[in-house]
Amino acid sequence: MNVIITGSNRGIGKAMVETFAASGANIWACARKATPEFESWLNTTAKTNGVWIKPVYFEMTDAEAINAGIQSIIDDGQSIDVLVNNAGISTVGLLSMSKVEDIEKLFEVNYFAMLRVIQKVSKRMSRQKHGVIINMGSIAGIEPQPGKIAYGSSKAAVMMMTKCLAKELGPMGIRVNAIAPGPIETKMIHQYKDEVLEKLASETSLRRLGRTEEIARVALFLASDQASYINGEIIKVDGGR
Amino acid sequence: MSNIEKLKNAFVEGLEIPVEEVENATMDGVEKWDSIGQMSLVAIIEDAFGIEFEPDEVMQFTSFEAGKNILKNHNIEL
Ligand SMILES: NC(=O)c1ccc[n+]([C@@H]2O[C@H](COP(=O)([O-])OP(=O)(O)OC[C@H]3O[C@@H](n4cnc5c(N)ncnc54)[C@H](OP(=O)(O)O)[C@@H]3O)[C@@H](O)[C@H]2O)c1
Repeated sequence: MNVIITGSNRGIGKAMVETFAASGANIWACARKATPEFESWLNTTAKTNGVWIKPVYFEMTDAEAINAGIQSIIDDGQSIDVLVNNAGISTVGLLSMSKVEDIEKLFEVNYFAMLRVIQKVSKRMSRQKHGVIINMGSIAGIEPQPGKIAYGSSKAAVMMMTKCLAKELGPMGIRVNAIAPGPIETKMIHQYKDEVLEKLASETSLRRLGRTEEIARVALFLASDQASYINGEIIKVDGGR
Repeated sequence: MSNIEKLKNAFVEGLEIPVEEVENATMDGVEKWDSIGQMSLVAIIEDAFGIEFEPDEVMQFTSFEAGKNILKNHNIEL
């Protein structure tokens, strides 16, 4: 299985690289910029698991860069079996304190960049007549919260996009699903103060934040043939709420 | 293989029609040329010619003739 993972250098994306590589998958690990640490980690992970992992660098706000990055993957000439759209940004802010331009920027990364990647990759998958696309939604796109207008709406859009695409691409043998994580311990969530983190944990039935690998394992399941009849679903992974 | 042959082959592969029917093929007249057939046909042509259709070209692509014009716009001689 050959897999594209965006936002692969930290947080949930990093756990995805580890989980998919451990299952024997080859990976195009997409990130914004090259660093020696990232590349050496990719090399070690590839060697340990006997797979190849190729870094692909592009900035998600730059349409041409996305195009060039995905084209370089297509030019590898390998089958693209799975696309995990994981890169994303989060903000918190009441509308009265938010600039619409900033909300646009957030949508550019969380929604439009994802669409651009899918538009290009799904053409390749439709040629192959198979493929799996996994998008990162969020509980924030399901449960309304003050301050989450931008992030929550962008993730709601991602999840509706997922359902529509499942219908459009299903006939071509492409499954499209989304994962809606609850609060997961990553840098994204550490923008909050400790009291907020405690509150977030207490809102879950399991009374704790999620771990990155708990999301990665669900992505691996959705990517696998174990999930061959799951299409157009939003899988909540939030410890119970 | 000439470019026109490559284009005809794409129609044969993508829409599963005999080569003799390709020149008169239209979206309305070919059973497999629905939105799904369109997507695989476009993907095959893009691969064959190393080009990328713009979304409005995909919209305009409703016949073999229209396909030829799109390729000409991409400076492909037929
Ligand atoms: N953590 C949570 O609680 C949680 C909950 C629900 C959903 N999610 C979703 O899960 C996904 C991963 O989240 P995470 O917690 O792992 O976040 P994270 O630790 O902040 O990592 C985000 C990743 O996205 C990349 N990225 C952001 N903006 C980019 C851009 N403009 N161009 C290219 N790459 C960009 C980052 O690259 P850089 O390192 O270069 O910035 C990083 O690799 C996101 O879609 C997020 O919305 C997370």
